[in-house]
Amino acid sequence: MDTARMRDTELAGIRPQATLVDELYAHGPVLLASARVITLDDDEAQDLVQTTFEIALRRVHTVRDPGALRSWLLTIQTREAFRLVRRLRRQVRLDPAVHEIAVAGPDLAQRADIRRALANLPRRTRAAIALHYLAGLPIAETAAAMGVSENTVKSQVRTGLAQLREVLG
Amino acid sequence: MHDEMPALDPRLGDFLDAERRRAEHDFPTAIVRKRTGSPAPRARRGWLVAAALSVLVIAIAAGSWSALSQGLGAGGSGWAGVEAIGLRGMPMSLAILDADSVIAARRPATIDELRAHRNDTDARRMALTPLAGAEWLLAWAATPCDVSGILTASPRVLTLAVDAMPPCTTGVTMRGAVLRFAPSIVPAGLALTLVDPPEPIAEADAISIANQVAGISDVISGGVDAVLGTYATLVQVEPNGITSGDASPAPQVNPDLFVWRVDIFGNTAWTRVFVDAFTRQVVDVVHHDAFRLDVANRSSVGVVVSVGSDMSGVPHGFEPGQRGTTFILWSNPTNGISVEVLGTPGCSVVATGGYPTLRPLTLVIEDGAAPGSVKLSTVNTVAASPMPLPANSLFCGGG
Repeated sequence: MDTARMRDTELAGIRPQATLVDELYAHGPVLLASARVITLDDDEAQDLVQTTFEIALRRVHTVRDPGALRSWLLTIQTREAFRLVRRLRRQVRLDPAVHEIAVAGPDLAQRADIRRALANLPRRTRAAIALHYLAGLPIAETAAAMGVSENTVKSQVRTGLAQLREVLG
Repeated sequence: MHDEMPALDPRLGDFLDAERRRAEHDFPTAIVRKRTGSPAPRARRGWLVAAALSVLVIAIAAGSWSALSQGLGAGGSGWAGVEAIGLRGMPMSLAILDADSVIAARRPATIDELRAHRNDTDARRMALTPLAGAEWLLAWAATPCDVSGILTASPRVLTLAVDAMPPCTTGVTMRGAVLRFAPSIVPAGLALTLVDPPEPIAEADAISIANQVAGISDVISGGVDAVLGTYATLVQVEPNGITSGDASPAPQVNPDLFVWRVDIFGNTAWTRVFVDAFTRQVVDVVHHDAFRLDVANRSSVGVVVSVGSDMSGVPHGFEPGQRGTTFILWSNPTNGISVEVLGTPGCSVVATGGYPTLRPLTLVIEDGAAPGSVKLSTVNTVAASPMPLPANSLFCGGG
């Protein structure tokens, strides 16, 4: 039995697998919301969350602090989101004239404006905003999730918010 | 908590809050997880069959038997604790792009999950094979590197050209979608050409695969019946066709997993199929006889929107703020629809758009940069139910 499997077994002995999985899934909504803000595409976002869970379930035995699950999952997802960009460049993009806005409603116009404004920001800036303001990660954890320095995150967020203010008027 | 970062614009804050609420609402259905211990409802039998078929097709196409068997080992214990997550209610991104009926697959809909997370290097493979009736199965092995290809449907010939992709050493997810052809098309009359530059699949092999898939459906269906109470089944496929099939409990790590063992061409693979981890996605390729378009005029001017297809045209006026639903008949959906927005008065064309998609859309009309001008955009969703066309006096036509 390899080391990873031994750890998995030990972990399973302490905490049933179903409980672990439940804990992972409890963070699903915030993952999905963040993914949507980062990708601005519902299909990509759901793919991203799916991939995040797939990776997380394979690596769950490496988690030492259950309290850090949320940050850990967001880190996986953010890295995958950046990787996704590279992958999508090789794929056929369908019907570029169709812009997706997920929910219609009375605030549709405002949502459309904000989505357009967000779409003009780099994906990394959207990720920083999503992780910090939507998922509530401190700057240090946001930086760790994105694999950059805290100052880079701060700079990206400040610049991004300023651009949004300018566009939104 | 926000480390003295700038405060959010309230509108962005509202947007993020709305996204949070939407995800809370959507997550349980958007991301499907296995329900521990719940048997497959009888209604899902068809889905199970489709899923099993796709497992076979993809696995054959992926040529990943040795990797699978190495990854799983004799008892499959290497998979302990791994769950699969599928997607539900996700349409596959297929679009008719031009008059030659080119269909491009960007993103798969998940029918099932089958993973070998150890050094599968055949993720570039895709397969297309006929199912029963008017349905074909387009399936492939997807990894984080994913695969891509172009499916071309010209008269009597389907061509699947698979892009060469770099090998991927991460987990493999088997995905597919069922393409349903219009009654006017006889799938059996279509020839299939597979183009896979790195490792071509001979047409004869494709036919063999298709025969096997078609032949095994009853066997698997019977297995599904037996599996309802046991959560497991064993299916055996022997070389050169189906000669036997048996349903019986199979050894497994977790009682709520399906374990399939498939023997084909002397190779063995173990896979797991999860009760809730797959759903059948039917994509109507040429099945529609009418297109739905919701129109929302968010501009400050009244306009007449003329929606045209290869069969008819539907004009209707929309005052600022008005919205409504139009339906337009078409004979060949591959031609898509066109939209002309006419200004009033004068009825001059102020904006045009073409939409080669089968999916209902919302056309959004907004003010353009120049005074009196408008710009068009589309939203990939429509109202829950068709809206009545608005009443107004706007009119263009009559010569």
